[in-house]
Amino acid sequence: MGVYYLGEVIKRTRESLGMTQEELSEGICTPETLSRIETGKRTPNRANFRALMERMGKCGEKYCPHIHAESYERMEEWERILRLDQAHRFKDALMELDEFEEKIDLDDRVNRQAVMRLRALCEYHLGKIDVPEYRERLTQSLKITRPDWDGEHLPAGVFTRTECFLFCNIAVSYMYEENLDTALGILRQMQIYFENTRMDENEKRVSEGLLMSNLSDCLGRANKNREALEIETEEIRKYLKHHQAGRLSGTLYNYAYDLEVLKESPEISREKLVQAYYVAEFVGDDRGKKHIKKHFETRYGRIPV
Amino acid sequence: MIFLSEQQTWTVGDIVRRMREEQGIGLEQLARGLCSAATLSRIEAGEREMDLLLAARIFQRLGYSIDKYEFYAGAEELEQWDQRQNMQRLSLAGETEYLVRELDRYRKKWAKQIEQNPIQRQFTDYIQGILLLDEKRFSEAAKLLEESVSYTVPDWEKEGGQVVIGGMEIEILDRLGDAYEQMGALAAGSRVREFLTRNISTSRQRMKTYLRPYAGILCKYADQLLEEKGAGRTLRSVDEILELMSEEKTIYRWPELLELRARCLEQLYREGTEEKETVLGAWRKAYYIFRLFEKWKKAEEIHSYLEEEYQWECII
Repeated sequence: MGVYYLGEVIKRTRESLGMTQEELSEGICTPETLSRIETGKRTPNRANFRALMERMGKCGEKYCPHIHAESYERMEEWERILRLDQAHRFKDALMELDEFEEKIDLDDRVNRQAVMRLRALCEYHLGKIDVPEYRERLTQSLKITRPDWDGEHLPAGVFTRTECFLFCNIAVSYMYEENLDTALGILRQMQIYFENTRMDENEKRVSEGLLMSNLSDCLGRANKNREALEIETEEIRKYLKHHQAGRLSGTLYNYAYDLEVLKESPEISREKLVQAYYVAEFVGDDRGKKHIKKHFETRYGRIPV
Repeated sequence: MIFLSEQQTWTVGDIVRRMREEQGIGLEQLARGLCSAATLSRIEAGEREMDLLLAARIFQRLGYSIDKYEFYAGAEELEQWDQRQNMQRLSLAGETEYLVRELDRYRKKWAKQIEQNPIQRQFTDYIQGILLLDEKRFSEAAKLLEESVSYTVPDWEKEGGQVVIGGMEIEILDRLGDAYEQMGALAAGSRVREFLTRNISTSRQRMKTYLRPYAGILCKYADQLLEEKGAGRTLRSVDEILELMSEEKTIYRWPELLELRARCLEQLYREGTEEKETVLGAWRKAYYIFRLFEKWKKAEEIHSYLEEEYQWECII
C-alpha cells in the first residue's frame, strides 16, 4: 500500500500480467506514449488512464483505494493473518485463512497466489507437508504470475511484494535441505534486484526486510558468520530507527548466535538474547520466546526476565 | 498488494461518504477548512476528484491513513508528496540543517500552490514553526503554530471534544503544546495535551492510527499524569497503548513507556497493592530496552536507581 506514481503502477500491473506495451496500448494510445507514461515523462489524461487500467482488469479511478469499501475489513483481516504468520502462530493463521478464503474472490490471480503461499507456509511449519512438497506449492503459487520461473534464475521485471516473498521462501526451502549453494544463489540475485530497483521506501523496507533476514540466516549456516553479522547489525539498526518490531526478535537472536559461533563478546550475546526474548514476547511470538529461552538457559543459566 | 474485487463499483467518494456516515460526522465538519461542504458533497458523489493532498487530509480526519490503501498520483503531486514526507521525516529526526534547505526549496518551487491553497500554507508554516522551536524561539513558534492550525481548525479549543481533526492537525497541536511548555505557559500546554488525549482516545481505530503522537504525549507529560490521575489510571492508559502497539508491531517510545509503567507499579507497590517482584521485573525490562535503543545514559540511571533502592545484583 502507499502512494505511487500512476505510470509505475501501470507498468507493474502490465508486467505482472505478462503484457507488452503494444498489447496494452492498442487502440488507446501509441506504445511510445505508453512508454513515456510509464517512465513519468508524461501524465495520461483521465480517459486514457481509465482505459489502460480497465484493459488490465483493474479499477480506473485515479485515486482509487484498490480495495472494495466493504473489504477494508478484509484488508485488516489479511494483515492480521500475516502478523499471526510472522509471530509463528501457524495454527491460528491457518484457521483464519480458511475463513478468509471463503470471503474473497479467488478467481483473482493475485489473491490466489497470496493465499496459496501463506497456506503452504503454515502447513509446512505445522509439519503437514515435507520440504519438497512445500517448495512445489510455492513454485506453483509463483508461476501464477511468473510462468517463466525456471526454479533458479530471477526473471526480469519489477516484482510484487508477494513475488518477492515467494522467491525468498523458495530459497529458504533449499536451506532447509542444507542445499545452501542454491539458497544463496537465489538470495544473492534478490539482493542485486533490490540494489538496482527504485521503489517506494516503505515497500522496500518490507520486502527487503524478509530478504535480509533470510540471507543472514543462510550465511550463518554456511559459516559466513562475519558477513551475517554485518547484515544483522544493519537490519537491527533499521528496525530500531523505524520502530518496527516485525523481524527484530529473530534478527537479535541470529546476531547473538553468530557472535557465539565466532566466540566473541559473550556479554553482548547474552544481552541480545534477553532483548530478543522481550521483543518476541511483545509481538506474541510464543514459539520464538521458548526457543530463545531454551538457547539462553543451555549457555548462560536462568534467563532474567 | 491484493485486489479483493474486480467489480469495482465503489469509488473513493463512496468510501469517504460511507466512513463519514458510519462515524456520524457531518459534511461541514469533515470539510471544514479543507474544502467547501459543496465540494466535498460533489467528491462523495463522484462528480469531482480530490488531489492527493486533500485526499490524505480527508482520510486522516476519518481516522485512516491513505497509505493503507493504494493511491495513484500524477508526477507533480507525487513530487510534492515525497518532498513533504521527507520534510516530516527530517523534522522527526531533528535534522534541522537539511530541513531548512528542503523547506526553502519547497517554498520556491511551489510558491503558487502555497499561495493559493491554505492546506499547503498550513504545512509550510508548521515546518517553519518546528524550525523556530529548534532555535528556541518559543513564543514566535507558538504564534506561528497557532496560526497554522487555525487554517483548518479555527477555534479548536472552543469546539470541545466534537471537533474532527486529522494527523496533521494533531502534529501541529502537539508541537504547539511543546512550545507552550517551553515558554513556561504550563496551563496552556496542559490544555493542549488534554484536548489531544481526549480527541485521540475516542475510538480504538483512532488510537491505532495516532499511536505515535498519543505515545509521545503520554511520555512527555508522564509526571503530570501520575499526579493528576494517580498510578492506577496511568498504568491502565500505558497498558492500553502498549497493547495497541503490540498489535501494530510498533516499538515507538517503548523504553519510555516501560519506564512509566515501572514507575506506576512502584507507586502501587508503595501503596500496598502490588508485589515487589513485579516492580523489579518492570524496571529490569525498561533497563534492557533502553540499552536496546542504545540509550546508555538512561539505562545507567535506572541501574544506579535500582542499586540504591533494591540491591541491583540479584536483579540483572
